[in-house]
Amino acid sequence: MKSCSKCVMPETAETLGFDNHGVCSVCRQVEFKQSSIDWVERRKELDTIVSAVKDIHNYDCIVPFSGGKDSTFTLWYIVRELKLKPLVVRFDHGFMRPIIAENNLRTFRTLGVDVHTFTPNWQVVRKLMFEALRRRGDFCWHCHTGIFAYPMWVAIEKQIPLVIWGEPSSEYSSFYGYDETEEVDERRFNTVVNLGINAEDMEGMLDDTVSTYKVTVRDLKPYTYPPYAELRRLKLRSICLGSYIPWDVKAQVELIKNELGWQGEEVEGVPPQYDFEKIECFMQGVRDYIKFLKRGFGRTTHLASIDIRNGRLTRAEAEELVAQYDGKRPGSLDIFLRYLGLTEAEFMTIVSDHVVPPYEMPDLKWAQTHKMNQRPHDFEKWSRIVGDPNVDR
Amino acid sequence: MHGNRELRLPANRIIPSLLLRRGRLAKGVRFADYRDAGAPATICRAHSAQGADEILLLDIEASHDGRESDFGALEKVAAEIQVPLTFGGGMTNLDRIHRAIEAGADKVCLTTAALDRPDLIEEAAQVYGAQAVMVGIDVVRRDGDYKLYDHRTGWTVSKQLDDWVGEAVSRGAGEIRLCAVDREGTRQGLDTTLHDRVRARVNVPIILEGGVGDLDHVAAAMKAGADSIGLGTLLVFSDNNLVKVRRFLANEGLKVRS
Amino acid sequence: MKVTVVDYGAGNIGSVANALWRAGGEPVVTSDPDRVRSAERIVLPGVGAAGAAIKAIRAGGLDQALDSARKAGRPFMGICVGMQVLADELLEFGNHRGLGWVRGIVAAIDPGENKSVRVPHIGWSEIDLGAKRSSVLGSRDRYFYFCHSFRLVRDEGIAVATVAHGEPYTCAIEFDNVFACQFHPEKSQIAGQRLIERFLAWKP
Repeated sequence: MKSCSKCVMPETAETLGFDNHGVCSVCRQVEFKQSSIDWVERRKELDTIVSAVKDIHNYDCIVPFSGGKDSTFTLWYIVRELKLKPLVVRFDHGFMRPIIAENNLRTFRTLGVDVHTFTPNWQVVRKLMFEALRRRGDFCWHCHTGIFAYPMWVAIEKQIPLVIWGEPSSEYSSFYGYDETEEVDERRFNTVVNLGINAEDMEGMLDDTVSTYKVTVRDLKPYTYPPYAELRRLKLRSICLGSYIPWDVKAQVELIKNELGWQGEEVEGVPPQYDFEKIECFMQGVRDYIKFLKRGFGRTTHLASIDIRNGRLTRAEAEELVAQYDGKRPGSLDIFLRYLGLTEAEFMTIVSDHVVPPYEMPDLKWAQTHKMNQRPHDFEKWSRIVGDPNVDR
Repeated sequence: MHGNRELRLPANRIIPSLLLRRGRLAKGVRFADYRDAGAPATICRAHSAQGADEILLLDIEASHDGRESDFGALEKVAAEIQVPLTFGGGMTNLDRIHRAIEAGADKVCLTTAALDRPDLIEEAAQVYGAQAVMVGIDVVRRDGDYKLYDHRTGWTVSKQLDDWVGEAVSRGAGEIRLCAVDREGTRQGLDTTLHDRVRARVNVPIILEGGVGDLDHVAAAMKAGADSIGLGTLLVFSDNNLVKVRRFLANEGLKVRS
Repeated sequence: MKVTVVDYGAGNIGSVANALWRAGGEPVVTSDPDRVRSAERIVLPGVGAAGAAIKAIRAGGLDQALDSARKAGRPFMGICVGMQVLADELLEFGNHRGLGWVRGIVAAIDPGENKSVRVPHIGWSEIDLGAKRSSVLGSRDRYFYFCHSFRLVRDEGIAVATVAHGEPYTCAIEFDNVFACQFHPEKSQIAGQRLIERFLAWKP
């Protein structure tokens, strides 16, 4: 399995291309971002977009919010730098860690914002998780689509013509390049977000393997992208803040820690110095583990590569970290299996269908001998409730 | 004069091949044992967004049961996409072909309809041009040779493959969809030998289908000279979105659209 | 941004209108010469045979309407057969007289001796930008969808792009307020959409 000659991302990572020097496309995109973008010009474009909506409607914009480092920084920037009145829209995926509630209270109360939270039907979520795992080897479909579709419905309902997201996808993958300002629209939804599956597809694909709960098209509305005609009528713009200001995770985390008292958290399978990454979801460990089973790399590879691109880590140091932390079976897998009523063997069989060559997936025996030693301190607080009295009792 | 200039041929094509059945997309192994593969309009929306080079939509019920083609589904699909669309299944006369074009198909694919009445190929090419008329050729391997196959009966057809290929093109087919039916859904790889056989006979573009299980199969077939590949199973039951497929092929040194 | 799509029975109107709408335009489909004559911006699509197309355009009185709109300086885009009919002579299934906006003839693609050059030319080909700058063609997108057997020859200096499918030939022209392309922007996904967006913003 070959890797980028600069960072440590392997060929099995989605959308990665390699040039003549063996350098990956994301490294090149970040180089471009660091050297070839006129950020003054980009910031002017942002000011133009913002001035078109400021003080006209009840809210100037929507900020979709998870409570992680990116959306927290984005919200801070919208309120303190752009001086806009946002409506914060939260999509509760069902796996929030306690730290998030604490961080959010500090953020919302300090900045002073209205917050709209939506929690989807868990019975529906369970079935969506299973079908997505089976079809795509990625159980997070409900979360990807809910996060990107739901706020658009709120925008239409409340007639808010601007939605501001955080980092552009070009920071970590090559669906888009940094030379364009990616619009977070239906095309992006169908390319980057929904794994090629829309709600109308899921409706016919779901079966009764997990439960006999009947899911209808109505139940899938939060995961459905609104019709283009309605968004166009509203003249909605849906942009990434990171297209208009240079995204710098390290500096941004420092800022939100200082300005808002944001706190990091230990994360399954990741070196302790990365306490700012993906802290908002307790299924993150399972998600990373599946990625490792399919593609042979985990979150540490991803984080170390980011540090290499920003001159904070050498390749040798990165390889050491990866060897130590990537590729271990997380404790949260037991919770995941409980949610879907699967055995670990069944889980491995399903995932094995999605392995990306040339990588070869390890087997169940390997998994039993490569368990994570540490459990995050709040592990017992992660909900085991399945919504099935036979299991929950 | 021609030899001196650098020849720039069209890019290799990746074409989702979608089976339409009872208003939904279906994918099964060898024309049986279907599983729901999504709603036609939204699946095509995703394929178009991800950069499918073209989309092939085949109404297998219309063809198999002799019913009218699902022009309604076709119209909904056409409204969602900005890539070329080929429609096939049940277009047994010019009127139905006309309806398909009106509903938004750029090309029609005639398979059993062309076998039943080869004149139809000429009639369609006269009105719409050879570039709008694709002839579908289903093939199986029997007794050590390739035989034409009729999916309605499940039997082979007596006409010889080479003869039919030549006849279809001389009657005006601008393109051929070549499907190794016994490989469909089996994930054993594409039949490049079959492709070479047909390639040697005619000079129109050929779309090869049947047997893709992973991206290596697509790369191998393209390297062997099959420049247009139809994808079915691969896209339905795996995490292979077309952006990734294209990036993989580019990494393999193959010329794909960028 | 209103844009009039000329309907002369040559099919493919739906996808052109849809692409214009997705690019932010407001398409109005019409076969009425008066509405074409007074249109702000015009798109002339076309698939099939150029000879049949020019006959239908003349039968509908659209040739004069198009001439009139062009003289009035309205931005115009011709697509595929909608580009071919602009020529003097069209040699597809006979010899027909085109609109004559462009000096040249439309003849069959000549594949030469190389068997790999297939006719019809179907697929995504990379275009080469010419020395003459174009306001409608961007510099970023190079792959567009082609589906044709005939092409424009001898266009004398108005080419803004060529395609090397066999012997290189012109695939896009631009002069005054006229832009036309042999390929299909409405079938060329995001590259085509960007081109259409530029056409809608074009102030020739």
